[in-house]
Amino acid sequence: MLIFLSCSNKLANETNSFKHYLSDKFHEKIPDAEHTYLLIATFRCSGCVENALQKISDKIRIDPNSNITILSYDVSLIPDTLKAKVKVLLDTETMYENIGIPIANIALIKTSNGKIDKIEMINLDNADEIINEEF
Amino acid sequence: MKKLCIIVISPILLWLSACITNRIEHDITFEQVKVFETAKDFSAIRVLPTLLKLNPVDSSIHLYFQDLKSNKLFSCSLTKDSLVPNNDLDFANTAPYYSYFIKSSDSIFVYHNEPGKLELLNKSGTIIKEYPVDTMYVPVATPPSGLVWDRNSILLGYVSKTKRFQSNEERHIYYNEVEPLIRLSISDTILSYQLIGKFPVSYAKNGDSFYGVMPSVCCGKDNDICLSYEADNNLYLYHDTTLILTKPVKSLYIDKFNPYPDEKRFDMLFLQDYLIGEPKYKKIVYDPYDSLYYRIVKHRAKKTKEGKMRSSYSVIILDSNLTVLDEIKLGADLFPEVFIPTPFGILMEKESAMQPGNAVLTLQKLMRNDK
Repeated sequence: MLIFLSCSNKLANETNSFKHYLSDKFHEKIPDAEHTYLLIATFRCSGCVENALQKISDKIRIDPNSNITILSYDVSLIPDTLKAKVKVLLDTETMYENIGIPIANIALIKTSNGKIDKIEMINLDNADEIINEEF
Repeated sequence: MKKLCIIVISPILLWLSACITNRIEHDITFEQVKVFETAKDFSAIRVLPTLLKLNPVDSSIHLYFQDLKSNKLFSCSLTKDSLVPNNDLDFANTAPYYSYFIKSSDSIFVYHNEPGKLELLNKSGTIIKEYPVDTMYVPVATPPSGLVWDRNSILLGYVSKTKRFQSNEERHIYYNEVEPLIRLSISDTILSYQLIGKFPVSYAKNGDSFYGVMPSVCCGKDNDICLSYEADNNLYLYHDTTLILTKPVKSLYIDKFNPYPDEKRFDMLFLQDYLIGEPKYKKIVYDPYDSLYYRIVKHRAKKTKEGKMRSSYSVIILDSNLTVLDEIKLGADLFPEVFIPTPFGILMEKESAMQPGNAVLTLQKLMRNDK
């Protein structure tokens, strides 16, 4: 029972602070349907982020009901082809870096039922693997 | 018993009094003489290395900066009372701040790592001269030093073209066999090359990686070149290519240096925590107005209540023979990312009182309270 509780609450704090951030900054909420958020960090490997986003763009199609949202402080980091396929939220003050979820490079946040299920960092050595698995 | 107490306590008291006397003798402080509250947030702004010259007409000096958010370069005129932005650089810029050396507003050197090429630009960004680098050599413009001007030459970091750096064994060889610096001497359109320096024994011993491997460099008295490594207590003084002095200059605030684990090479989250958390000697700066060296020390960061890492800093003050005069801990509102000795005092970055979270510039004067 205790193990079950600790598992189900594993990302409860992160969910809470992410929910508040989306609501305060963009009047948005985490949807019930499965969703993927990509958070672009200011601490990033120059070129890696652009490459990874281009690879994601190459893999996904234009979908009016896209379940991908990119949070960035600089919209020019996102390839134009990808901007046409996903939702982009711009936060020039990078307040998403101050909500208690440590991020570097690109943070991939998977959600469902209004909760965070998984947080992964897309680094130089795992970008292909994560992109293949998640998109 | 009384006698025994006196025998035991007396040396301790003598030692303590010597320490106190010594401390008073070298009591140096920074005193704020001016704060330049401007609309600009200097927390995302870096300094371009510059040859500081006092303008005799208005007693000002020109300083050059890069705004990291826009990449734009801009300059300011500093007097003892004012900091006024100028618009004397007018070109689209893509190179980072550490690729530049501003000899004057119309004589700007920029080094491109890939392919190795030094350019001389005028204030409009037009290339006046190009100096391609011999492909035998791999100079690199990289923090913490970037381009350092030494008479008619430029000092840059140097990396080996052939030697690898991935494992402790490879690094052990690298540190022992590769010079960390190169001097590019400029004559007409031709460069000549001189390799300078050695990596510290403390690096070479186990071949550890400390992530930032290049030394911070400055030119001091008699054009001596001072090298300071991020994770090594010693300072090294070279004249031309000859090592003339090695001096242990350990900070009171650094306990030890933890090497960067090879298995975390691609882990950006770990790297971020490592860079913020670990202590290091950030840079060495020479003050030609007071003939002093300053070694900037970043302390081990501590987590705040909100879970954020926050560092504090100190400055080790040394005379021109690298004798330590004092180490001053900086107030929590002072950041040495900008640390420029000027004829009016040391220009530093400070948290704005009017706009908390933003940084402004402040002039700090070094006060010697010798008694």
